[in-house]
Amino acid sequence: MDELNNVQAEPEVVDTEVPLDKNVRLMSPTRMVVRRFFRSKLSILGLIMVISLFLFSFVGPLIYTEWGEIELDESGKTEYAISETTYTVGGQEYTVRQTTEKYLKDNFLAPASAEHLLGTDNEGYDIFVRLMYGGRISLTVSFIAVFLITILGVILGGIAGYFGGWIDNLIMRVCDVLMCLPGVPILLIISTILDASDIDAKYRIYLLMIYLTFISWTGTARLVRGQILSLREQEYMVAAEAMGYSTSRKIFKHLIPNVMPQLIVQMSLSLGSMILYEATLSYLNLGVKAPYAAWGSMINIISTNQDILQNHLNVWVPAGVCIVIAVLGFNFVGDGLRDALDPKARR
Amino acid sequence: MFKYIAKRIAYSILILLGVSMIIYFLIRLMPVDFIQDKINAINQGGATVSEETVNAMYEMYGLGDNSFSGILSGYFTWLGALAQFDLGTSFVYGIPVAQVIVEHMGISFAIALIATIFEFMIAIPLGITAATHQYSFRDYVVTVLVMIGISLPSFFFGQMLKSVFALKLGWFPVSGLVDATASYTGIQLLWDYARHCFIPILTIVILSVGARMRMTRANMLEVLNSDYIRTARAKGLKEKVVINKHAFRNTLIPLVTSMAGLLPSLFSGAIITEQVFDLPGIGNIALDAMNRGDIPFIMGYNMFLAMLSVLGVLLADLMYGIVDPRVKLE
Amino acid sequence: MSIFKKEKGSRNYLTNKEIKEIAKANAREMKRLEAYKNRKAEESEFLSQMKNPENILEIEDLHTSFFTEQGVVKAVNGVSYDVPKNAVVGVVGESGCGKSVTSMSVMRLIQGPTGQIVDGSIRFKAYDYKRDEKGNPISDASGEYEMEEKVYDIAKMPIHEIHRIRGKQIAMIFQEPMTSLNPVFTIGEQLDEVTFIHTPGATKEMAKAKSEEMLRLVGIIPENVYGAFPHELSGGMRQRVMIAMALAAEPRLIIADEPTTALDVTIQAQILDLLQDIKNKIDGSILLITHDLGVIAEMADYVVVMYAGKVIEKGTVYEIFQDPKHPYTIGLQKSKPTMNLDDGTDLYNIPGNVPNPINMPNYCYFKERCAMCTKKCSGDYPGMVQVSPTHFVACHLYDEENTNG
Repeated sequence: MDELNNVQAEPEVVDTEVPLDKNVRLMSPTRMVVRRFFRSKLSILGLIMVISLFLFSFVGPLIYTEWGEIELDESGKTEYAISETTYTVGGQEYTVRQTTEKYLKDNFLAPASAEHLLGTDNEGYDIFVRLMYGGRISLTVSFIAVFLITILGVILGGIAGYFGGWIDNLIMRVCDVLMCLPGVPILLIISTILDASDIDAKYRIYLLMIYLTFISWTGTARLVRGQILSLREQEYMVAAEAMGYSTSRKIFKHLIPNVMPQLIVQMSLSLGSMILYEATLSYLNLGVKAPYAAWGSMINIISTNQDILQNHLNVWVPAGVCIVIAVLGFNFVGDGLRDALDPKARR
Repeated sequence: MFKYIAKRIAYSILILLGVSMIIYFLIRLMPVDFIQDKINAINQGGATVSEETVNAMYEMYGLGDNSFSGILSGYFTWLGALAQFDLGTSFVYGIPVAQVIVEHMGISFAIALIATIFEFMIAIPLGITAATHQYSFRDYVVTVLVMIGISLPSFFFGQMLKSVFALKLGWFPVSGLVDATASYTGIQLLWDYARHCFIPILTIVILSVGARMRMTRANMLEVLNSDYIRTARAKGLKEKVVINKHAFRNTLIPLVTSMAGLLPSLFSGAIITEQVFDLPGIGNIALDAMNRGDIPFIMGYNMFLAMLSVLGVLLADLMYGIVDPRVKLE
Repeated sequence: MSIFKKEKGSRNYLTNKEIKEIAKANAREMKRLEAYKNRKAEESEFLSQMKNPENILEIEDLHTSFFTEQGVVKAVNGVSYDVPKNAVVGVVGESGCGKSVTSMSVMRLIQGPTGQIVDGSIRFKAYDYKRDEKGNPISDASGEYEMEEKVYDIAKMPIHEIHRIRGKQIAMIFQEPMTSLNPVFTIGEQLDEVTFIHTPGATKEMAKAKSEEMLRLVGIIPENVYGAFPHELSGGMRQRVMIAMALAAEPRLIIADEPTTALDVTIQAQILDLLQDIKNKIDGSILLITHDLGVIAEMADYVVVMYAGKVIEKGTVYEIFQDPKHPYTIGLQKSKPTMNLDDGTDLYNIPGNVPNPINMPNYCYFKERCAMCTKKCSGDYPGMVQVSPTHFVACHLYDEENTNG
């Protein structure tokens, strides 16, 4: 960050060799960005949402250890089925009400209680605990994906923008092709391929998201390339060229710090969309598979039984709320960062 | 002009070639015995996949020959079939994939078209008022609505609407496209369609209107801050005319271009929404095909989508040249 | 680079509390001024009288401020000057001195809500059609429109009434010809529009004829340009079109805000010649804003010199160039490059910089850069001193002995 500030500050400093006035108050750009970020209530809200979800998902399971992710509540459950039969004997109607008691091994669809904070799902897993583990998967997978996308995008976009010519042409044409690939449908194919190769249910989502990064780096690459192309035209880059700076110095000291602000914004916004992607995949039963928990698959439970959709809101609504909080949080933070880093292009 | 269009079309075909290579590469990643397993599963499920269909598929994709030349000739055989819009024969339906797609894309298109019309009708005025009243209360409300719209997962939001409006309040049917217990005709049938499609369309509109609103707002703001708007004001035009004529005409450029780019994608089907409401659209069919291992269909569907998006890019480009006088199609 | 490093340890920047206070105070002021700007008002509320009937525009004690996150920037801080009938008034000063903001205030084009006219009056003598209550021009039986002269205080006008002034009464030529024309309309459409707005009962043919006449006036063959889009023209051509547009409604006052700055030198000369030419042809005044003294000397009848949001000296062009009084004006003249500067001396420059606009000192703003400082300069900001019937200067050097002891 410090590097970046110095570079940005340079042009201003040049003509302020003589301190203007004792009253002039200057602030470092980082401080200005931080301050502008925290002045927006939405950014603070977003940050709180993201941090609390992190604590919930990663610290939560360490503190609340009553149940495990794939631990069934086998305390048993007695289900009563009431059946009525009406007989007509000699013009007189008789109703016989019969109650059958059925004992089942798993305590499924239990309501919220002290024992199960949000109740149990249709199998008998504790929903509250599974929310925490689902968050772990969601956040981890999204961070990995965004990290990989950024690295790939920066490298390929950087190469394209810096070297230009046929390399640029090639990389940009590949971008065009990848951008025409359909998102979820292509993952349907990849998921089928994963089915064929017997991957452990636990690692399936990671592989899927890595595939996803291969087709998702195009946005970042374009951003980096565009920035570099426009920066190359700037006077200070021409000056660096004239001073005979080495390529690596030009890239690391001048180009990268200038792309950073936009990259950070892009990263935090794509974290939101990656979480959405992961949830969608899990919802479609392509991502995290049973018995492991994911927010998306916790909502998918309703497709097995409409009774749950209507009468057991505790089973699926909390997972949806978690997804919304996560995505909204990252979007708020990203938007706040964008405003803070570039006050001219507000919202 | 014609030269430009020809060039663009040639370029689009090149892109499609690239896409087709990736999709072909993906199908070659599938082990043959896995495909056989899937076929067996389909056969056990009641349907019968004829020997003919399976052989046709092997032939079309050139499966089985894993040498380099085998893959290469397989690719070109497949490409040749593609060029004649032959996407193979579906395992599950036993008819050509292209026919399945054509049969089911109508309903997807109808829903998407209505949703898109509403989306633009809501997003454009709201985006513009937010921009002209920047930092005001309504700007703030629009911004929050935008954020919520782009942050809601469609499957969750759809299920919520279903749970409230269909199950709890009983205002609308829960799922499907027609009431299976009644046989309506004419106006009544249309009304039945409308009732079934109301919540799905509402879901799509609410989820997509945010991004469009944001785009309109950002564009309008950029235009409003430009020098020519200052000139228009300095001429003595009333503010209403400045916004509705001078600013709006400029904001329209990206809106119309994006609309043109969107048009082909209306045929592609909304996988999630159609799944949630069990609509017989192309997206839901594709998801079902995936679950049942109908490989020719998934492949064909992906190729179909790629064609649509290449067409979208092409249309957007051409539209840009038409609506923006600064861009010359050369 | 080093400045920021040093800054880290010290507390020389705004604290959070101060920022909050500024934001709160700004929000209150901006809300009040916006409400004032958007209020509904009877015409009588913004009608006024000229101090001197020979003038067409009188700016008096104008204050225009920008409410920024760091504090209030008083971009125009008590500016007063007049524009007489059929005269060219030149306003000079370095960038950021408030000369453009003053002209924007006259047109009421200051971007709200951050930019606001806070105080002062801008009196303008308008010559317009007689209008009924709805604002439509009244015509007599023969279809002729009656004209009347009225003095408006533009600073007090509600913003939705300002279209009475803009274009028809005061037209403006901007600094950036490249971006000042709407890219999606043809030149013809944009020129015709002026006639449509300002001439009652204008037809298409009338508008086109007027536009073509204006184009010819600025030296353009209309056939080539009328149907063209702005991007098809060069910068010089676009500026000519802007001038034609400004002339189309036959305004009483044309404000030219650095009309030649963005153009290259040969085109600059052409545009200046054109303005000179037009000055003789039209029945109106020109307010010429520039930082180029040469342009002023060539064109202006009166000169106003501005520095840091204030007028420091004003007079006839002869007085300012032959007998400059204020040390800043003297410095400006000296820093003008001349051809015969071959005696080895460097080009003169005024040392130092303009003070920070947020925290203006309460003594003379030029004190720290002034070579002729006296003891008095540490005192109050100097008032305007009249040195001849038309020549005024704000400097303690010319204070009369009896006013300041």
